[in-house]
Amino acid sequence: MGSSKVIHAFYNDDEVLLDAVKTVKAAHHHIEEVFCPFPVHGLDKAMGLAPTRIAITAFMYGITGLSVAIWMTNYMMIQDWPQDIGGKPSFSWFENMPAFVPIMFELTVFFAAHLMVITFYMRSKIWPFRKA
Amino acid sequence: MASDKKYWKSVEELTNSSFVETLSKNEFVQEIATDTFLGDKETLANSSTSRRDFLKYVGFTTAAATLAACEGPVKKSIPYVVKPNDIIAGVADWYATSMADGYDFANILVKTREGRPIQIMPNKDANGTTSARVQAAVLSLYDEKLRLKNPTKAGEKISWIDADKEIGAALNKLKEANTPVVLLTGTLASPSTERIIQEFIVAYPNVTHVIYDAISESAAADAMLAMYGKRALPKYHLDKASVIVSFGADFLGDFHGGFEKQYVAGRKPETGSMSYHVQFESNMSLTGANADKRIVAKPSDQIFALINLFNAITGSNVPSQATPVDAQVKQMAAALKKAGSKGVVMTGINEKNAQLVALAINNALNSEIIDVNNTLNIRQGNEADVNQLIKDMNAGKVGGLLTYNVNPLYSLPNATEFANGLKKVSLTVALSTENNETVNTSNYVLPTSHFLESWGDTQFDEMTYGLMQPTIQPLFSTRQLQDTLLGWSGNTTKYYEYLKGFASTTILNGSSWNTALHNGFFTREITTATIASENSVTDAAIQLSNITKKASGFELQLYTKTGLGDGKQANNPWLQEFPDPITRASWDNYLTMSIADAKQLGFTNPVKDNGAIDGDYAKVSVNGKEVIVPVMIQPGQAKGSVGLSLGFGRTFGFKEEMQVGVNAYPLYVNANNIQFGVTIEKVSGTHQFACTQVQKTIAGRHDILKVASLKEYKSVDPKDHHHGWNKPSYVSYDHKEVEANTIDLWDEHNRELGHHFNLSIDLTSCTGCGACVVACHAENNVPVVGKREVRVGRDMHWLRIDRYYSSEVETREDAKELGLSRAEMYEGLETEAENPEVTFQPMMCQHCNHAPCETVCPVAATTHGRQGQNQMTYNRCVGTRYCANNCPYRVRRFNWFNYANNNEFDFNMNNEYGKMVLNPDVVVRSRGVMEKCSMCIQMTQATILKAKKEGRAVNTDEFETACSSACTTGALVFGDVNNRQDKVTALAKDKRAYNVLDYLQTKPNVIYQVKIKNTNEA
Amino acid sequence: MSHYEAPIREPLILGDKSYHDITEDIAKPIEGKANKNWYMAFYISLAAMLWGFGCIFYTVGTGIGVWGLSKNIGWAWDITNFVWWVGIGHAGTLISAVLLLFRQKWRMAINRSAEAMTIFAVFQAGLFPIIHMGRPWNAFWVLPIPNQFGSLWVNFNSPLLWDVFAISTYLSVSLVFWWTGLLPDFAMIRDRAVKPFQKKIYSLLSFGWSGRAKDWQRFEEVSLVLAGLATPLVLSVHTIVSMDFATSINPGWHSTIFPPYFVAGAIFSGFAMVQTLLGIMRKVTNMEEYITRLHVEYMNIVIILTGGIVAVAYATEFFIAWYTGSPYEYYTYLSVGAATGPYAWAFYSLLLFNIAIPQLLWFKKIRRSFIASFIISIAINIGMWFERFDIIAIVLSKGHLPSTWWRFEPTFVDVGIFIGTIGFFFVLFLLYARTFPVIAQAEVKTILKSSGEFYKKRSEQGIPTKPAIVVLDVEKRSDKSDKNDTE
Repeated sequence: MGSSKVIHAFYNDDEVLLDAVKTVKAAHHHIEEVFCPFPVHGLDKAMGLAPTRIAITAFMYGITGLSVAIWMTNYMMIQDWPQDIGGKPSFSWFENMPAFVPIMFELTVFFAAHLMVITFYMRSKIWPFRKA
Repeated sequence: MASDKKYWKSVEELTNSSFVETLSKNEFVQEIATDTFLGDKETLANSSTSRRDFLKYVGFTTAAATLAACEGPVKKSIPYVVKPNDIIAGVADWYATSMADGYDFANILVKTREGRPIQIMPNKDANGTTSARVQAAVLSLYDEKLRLKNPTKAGEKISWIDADKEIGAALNKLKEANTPVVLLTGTLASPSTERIIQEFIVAYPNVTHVIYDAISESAAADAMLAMYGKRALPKYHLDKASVIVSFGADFLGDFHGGFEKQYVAGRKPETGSMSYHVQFESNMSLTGANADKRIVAKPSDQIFALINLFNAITGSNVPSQATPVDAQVKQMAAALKKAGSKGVVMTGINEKNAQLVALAINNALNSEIIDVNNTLNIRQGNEADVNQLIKDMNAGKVGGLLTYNVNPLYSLPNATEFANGLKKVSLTVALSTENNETVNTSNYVLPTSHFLESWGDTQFDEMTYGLMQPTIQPLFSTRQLQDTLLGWSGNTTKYYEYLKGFASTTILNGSSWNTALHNGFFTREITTATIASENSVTDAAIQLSNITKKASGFELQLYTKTGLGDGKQANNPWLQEFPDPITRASWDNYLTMSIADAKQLGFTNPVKDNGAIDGDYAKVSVNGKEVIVPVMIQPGQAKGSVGLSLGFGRTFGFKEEMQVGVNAYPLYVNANNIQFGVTIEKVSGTHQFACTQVQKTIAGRHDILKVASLKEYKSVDPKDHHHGWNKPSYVSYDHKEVEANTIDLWDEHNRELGHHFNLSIDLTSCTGCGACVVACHAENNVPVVGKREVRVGRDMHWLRIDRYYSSEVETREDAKELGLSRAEMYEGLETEAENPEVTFQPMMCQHCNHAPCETVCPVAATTHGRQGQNQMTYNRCVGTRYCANNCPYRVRRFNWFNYANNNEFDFNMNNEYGKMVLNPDVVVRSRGVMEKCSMCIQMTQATILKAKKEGRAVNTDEFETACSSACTTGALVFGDVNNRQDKVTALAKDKRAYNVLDYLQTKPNVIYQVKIKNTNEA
Repeated sequence: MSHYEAPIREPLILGDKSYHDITEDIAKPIEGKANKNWYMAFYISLAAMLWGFGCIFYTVGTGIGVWGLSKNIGWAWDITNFVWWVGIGHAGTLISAVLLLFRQKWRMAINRSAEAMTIFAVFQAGLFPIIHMGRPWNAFWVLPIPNQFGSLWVNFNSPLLWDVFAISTYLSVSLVFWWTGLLPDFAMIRDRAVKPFQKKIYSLLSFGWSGRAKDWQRFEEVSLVLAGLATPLVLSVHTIVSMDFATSINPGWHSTIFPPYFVAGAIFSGFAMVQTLLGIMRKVTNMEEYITRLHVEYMNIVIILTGGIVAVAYATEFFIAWYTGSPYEYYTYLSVGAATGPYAWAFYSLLLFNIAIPQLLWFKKIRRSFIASFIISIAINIGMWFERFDIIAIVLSKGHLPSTWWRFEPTFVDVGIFIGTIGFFFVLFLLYARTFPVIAQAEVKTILKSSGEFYKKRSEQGIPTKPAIVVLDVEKRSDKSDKNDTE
């Protein structure tokens, strides 16, 4: 459709909007974008948007965090300077591991949460000083 | 021949010099006219400072200030220009010398660093021992507040020459007029000095020498004189004793200078036999606390008991009086008879007749324990002479008074009389090391050197001749008494020469002076043997009982504290902060009162919300004299008797925060430590005590403190399930009861390599004297925090000695028998008995191999050393205090404030002299960091390095810590458990060995040895 | 319409509300002027805050000695306040995360403020571990950062270090969670803003959110995943805090039930604080129609539940202390020893405020009364403070060696710092209430039709929620600044 017309429509109700989207889609018109002030459930499906994969990234970030924690505890407590702290077995990471579980967990969450949110911001191009 | 060549730096200079002139002028900017505007006021007012100048100044000062701020304060240290041969920077020099301050006498070793004495240790070759006071004496050397810095006349500075001239003139005038002059000194116990005094008296026949001891034991000396014709104190070889009966003789304290070394030597359970020690006393003394059996008897009862014992043993029947303790006296009589020559009786009652009775009993037993040949010379004071002197002075008979290191105006009961008399004396000269009331009233003041700055010799007992050598140049313009007297008696030889001559001719008979000086002592043979005179003491005993029958009202027993003694070192912050072994109270003296009396008279010691203890005031009056003192309720105090310690309440020249306690000397009437007819009334006001321990009993936690009887020790298996006296803690493992220390959560670190230090503490040998506490203080630069802070539980002692009283309910079994509910049981466990048994437990960092404190430090500031120490990295510590909370022994100390260079804490670390005592090997901790016992790692490392330098292995038992080397009785044994020969290796495996709180399995490197008491069963 | 909800269910949004009304209501406090009460509250809190800061400077300048601590009691008010504030900081994330996972619609009205409270509370909590240090200027040493000492790292065995990680993770994650949720609402304010400055600020805060369909899709996904992450996180935080005590060897601290019991306690106190704050806020910002009796009741129910768990934990502790028969356990903070010892007053006030008073909430009348639940929530806040004080002070006051038994008395500095943090907390919250959309409008709007009173009524009468199509006059609308406001 070279000589394309752009229709710019306002809706004061989510359900009305949803019906409209469905009909327009049915008529094989292209919907450039829909803006709404609150999430309208089912809208993405109606528009035929691909499901987001952001959750998968979160999982991978989590794995990264866990590995960082393991590496860090092992390097700092076992490799770089194994000290005798309260007789704890600083010569073996596995024997000393129970003491590191909290760290491992926290870092997993830390990485997963923050990196995911950052990804979200990047992908959706939202960050400070960005004009709407 | 002068040359007129012209040298030039550049062609310009040669050709047109004017140009260079100008340059050279510009080379230095012309000076800013600071004076014109920073000068005095009106010049400032009409100064011609232009705005631009002003801006210049502002600019400059700002810049300067900024730059100054960028740099930390720089302290310049001056290196040796010419290095003394005998000093290697960083290596300590030890000198053998002697301490003799008139009350404390000891053969000591002095540790000096870069020429500064920093620590005193016993000279063990000379059987020297140190008490808390001897240990602390090194700090008194640096007492900038009290040390006299130069001779004065009526408060005005005067040169030595003038002083000598004027005093010499005055003396000569008195000599011509033949008006008596008195030289008043404390006990000198110094042969050479006595010789010098003799010569002085020869030069001035009108001079008489009067010896005055603030704390008198003249009764004992007089008794000796009466019975053995020799005015001295007997020595007691308690190590040979099998039965010791003491009537209020605090022989582990200050009685005859103390016998704890010999006492403990006779009480080694592993030898299978221990002396059986029974103490009849009214105050809870250190000796009573250590006794196998402590029998409470107020002073009058003690005297009657003594007489009863005398009757029972000698078979004579001196009229006496029944006492509540007669049953025990009978037992003792039997026991003593059985022991025969191995038995001994002592009495601390400063009453000639009482002493005679005691001597008579020992005579009857022909006791080998009491030694009347090798007698002690450490108390030569004579009340009679002193009282005569006071009379004469008031009668205006005395023309001159020379005092040497005595302070009668403080320590005399009739000080006012003395003061009045002093006004009538035309020439008063005070030769003194420190400033005090007496010095202040004398018209000439001649500073004498501290014993660490002096030459000298001592003769504590007949056999050991001790030498005194200076360990530092005199800090101030001081001169020794001996030099002064030599000078006045016209002898030009210096005292050092004199001493050398004297010693070589009269004492050393041939052997080397240098050796003697190096060893610090020389042993002599005794030629004469003294025999008891036959005259009976019966009438003495009769007199005694007649006097005592008059006893009425409360009976006051005056005593000296382990910390302050006669009060000579009252301005020594270490000793003030040192907690009393019995009451754990520091910075105070108080009236000790029995629980019953306190209840009756309404005295209490409530514990406040901040953990501190308060007390009520009592007005104590003894024949006219009155003092107002706080009351401390003392379990084990005899009902109807009270105790009060001397040596406190000195104020003259003291800083405000050092003026603590009450002066009890006014009550010390005719030097009798027992005063009858005392009345006590409660007066208003509450006193704030500073105690380091509030809970008095062990609260049924017997895995902390284990005590067993000699019988049990010999016959019962320590791990026996029912009657075991050293049961380890068990845990269930694989559904089996196993010893907790046999299993572990994880693989153990290898501790076989190199040295591994252990410290063994024998609770049987520890008398609680506290020498180790002060030694630790000195070695490790432990700060003094003052009364206010100690009160709220912030004392910094790395090593403390916990004191526990027994309670009526000791165990759950007791409670079951009494049929108590659990709440009642715990209440019983927590409240001390009326007359408790006492146990001391030195407590310092246990250096756990599985240290709870190490695990919880977020920054790894405390970790475990390869040699077993639990190490504290001060400069890594951020001060979360989690380690302290997680330490089951609560031995970690936190720097709540800056304790050095802080006017809020104006003690030795806040003045230049006081800082000279600091040990350069140990850092002074800053505020906000945790600190604790380091097992004296600086000492162990020094030992290792020494061995390395000498290219050898460290010798067996070469390792020492401050506490272990200070310990008189050998209760603290330090060593390397990886060296099989070391004493401590065997002790670690001993059947008496246990760890405190071993159920926690912290695996400490400090081992305790179960306390064994001789209950004298079969 | 969004999912169906039975009409008999009580409405979560009262009154005859349209989407626009919601927008108006939520924007009002921000666009309007602050009333006198607000200023009064603000200045009081500000004064308290400054006083507290004064005390903190005094402490840092002079030394921890200005507190009432001693050689035997190394912690008291400092860590008590720390744990108290952390505990309070649990409700927010819990509400927004756990309740989101459980699809609890009622959370929507309160989660924004609850989260705000969380973050502000964790700020206060974070203060204490730092200022309680002897050398706070070295606080950064607890971070595993390379340093000039080479191999000098932190000690990962230490519960305090676990705290460092837990607290910082918790704070930062809660922050992004909260902020992400705020974006659309900031955007709304921005789009309504008329004052240029305000517009600038809010467009900065809103990160240029435009509400594209794809963004909303991601937005919802992210919230869900964050919720999934935050739920275990919120549980882990107080678990780890409890380990400060549980992994120690002090009788009374060394207790295996601490983690669950602390978490329950945290939620307990957290909800109590939410109750307290909303009780005030719904009045001040007149949100009565969004924060309803129903919300209050729901929260009270959570309080009863967690309070019950806490009570059981107390009972267990007390029983164990008695049952072991160990002389060491006899003096733990919940024991006969404590009940009869010098700290009996603290012991009993704990039981009164934390166990006795909350039981009133079993009565529906009280549960649904704003005033009653407000008062009870205050009581619980006090009680939970005592819990922590008892755990720390009583246990430390009776250590292993009787010779080290001591007592603690706070100084004015201890008190001042505590007051100061309360002031600081309210300063932040009051500022928030004036400048942030206090209710997540984007979320509330999604449930307007399902749970709004107005629509519920209509659906009872069988009127469809979908309105008749109205043709709008474009010209008339074009003056409107924004495209996405669909009124």
